[in-house]
Amino acid sequence: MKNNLKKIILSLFVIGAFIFYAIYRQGNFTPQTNDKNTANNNTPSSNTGNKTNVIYKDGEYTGASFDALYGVLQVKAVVQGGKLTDVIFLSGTQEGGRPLRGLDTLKSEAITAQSANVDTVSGATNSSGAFVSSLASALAQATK
Amino acid sequence: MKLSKIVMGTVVTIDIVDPQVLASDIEKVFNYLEQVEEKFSVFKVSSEISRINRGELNHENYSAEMKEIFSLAAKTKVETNGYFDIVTDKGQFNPSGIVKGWAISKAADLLKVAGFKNFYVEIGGDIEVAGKNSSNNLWRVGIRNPFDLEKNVKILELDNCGIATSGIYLRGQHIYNPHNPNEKFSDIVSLTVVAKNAYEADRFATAAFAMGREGIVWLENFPELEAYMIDKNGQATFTSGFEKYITK
Repeated sequence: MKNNLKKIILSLFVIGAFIFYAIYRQGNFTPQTNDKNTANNNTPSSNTGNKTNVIYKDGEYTGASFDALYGVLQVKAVVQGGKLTDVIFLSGTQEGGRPLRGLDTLKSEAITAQSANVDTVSGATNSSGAFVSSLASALAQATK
Repeated sequence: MKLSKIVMGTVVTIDIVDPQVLASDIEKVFNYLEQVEEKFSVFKVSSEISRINRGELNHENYSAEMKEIFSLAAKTKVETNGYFDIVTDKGQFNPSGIVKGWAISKAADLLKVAGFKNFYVEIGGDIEVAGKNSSNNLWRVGIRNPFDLEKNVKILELDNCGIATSGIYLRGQHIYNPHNPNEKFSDIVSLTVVAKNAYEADRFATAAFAMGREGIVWLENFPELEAYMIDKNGQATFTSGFEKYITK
């Protein structure tokens, strides 16, 4: 069970990393092999064109399906001009057959501070010993 | 009337807007929460849970509330694919992860039975709100910025629901993954869930946080839950229906 979960998490991580690159490079994804020689290569840029770039073969590639935490997941990668241009979710169903919500419907943003007044605040438990001790002493003063 | 007290090792705040409120109404709820702490605190040697962990009580001798918590914990373990588990890696029972949200909802129920309609109950950053605030508007609830605890990253407008945040910024890494107790949660720093009450919000926030980056994807599959996750780079990911709560 533990090994299965590790596989699932690893698979999802790989898929996630793939999607991340696909989105952020907006189709200009040109993967390189991880070549230690090139990492320390300070030669002029005229040499860099011939490095160990891996060009994908054009086509559509269907991945294996994985038993994800929330159902079964399978994707198809689309390569055009040697670059990953799309990732399509082929299957995604929860147990019981309801369609999967997830990966494709989540939204994202960089956090920003909001300074307007609030009635109360939700946050991780504010119960460190120092915090509670400090508050207790403050309250002790407040009751004098 | 708004009163705070240190109970369950953290700060409990109750704010009741209804004009008939007396301090004794709030103190009754504080007393109830102190009884909950007496029963469920793993830090008190005399608590029922400590007696259970020492093998001094059989299941048939558990109090009704203890049986309820064990039953809810078993249900939650199934619903969260084992990510929520009150059995620690040392084989002891620690129901803290479910008791807090449950206690908030119980406290809110006590206030409703007492006739109050407009209030919130907060225990250590998890909250249940009912009705309206003192300005007769929706309750305005901030999500604390995990990188600057004086600030909020979002302000939500809520009524008759619960909100809970699991995170690593104030208590170190106090949540562990039962599938891998040694796993560190350095990637996700804060995960907030809005649900129909604090009990639901708390248990789903705790379990989803233990899933790491996959937690928000898992939560997206529950139409009745919305969530907002912040990673260590300050990037937030949120469920498709979350924006309806955000203050315009």
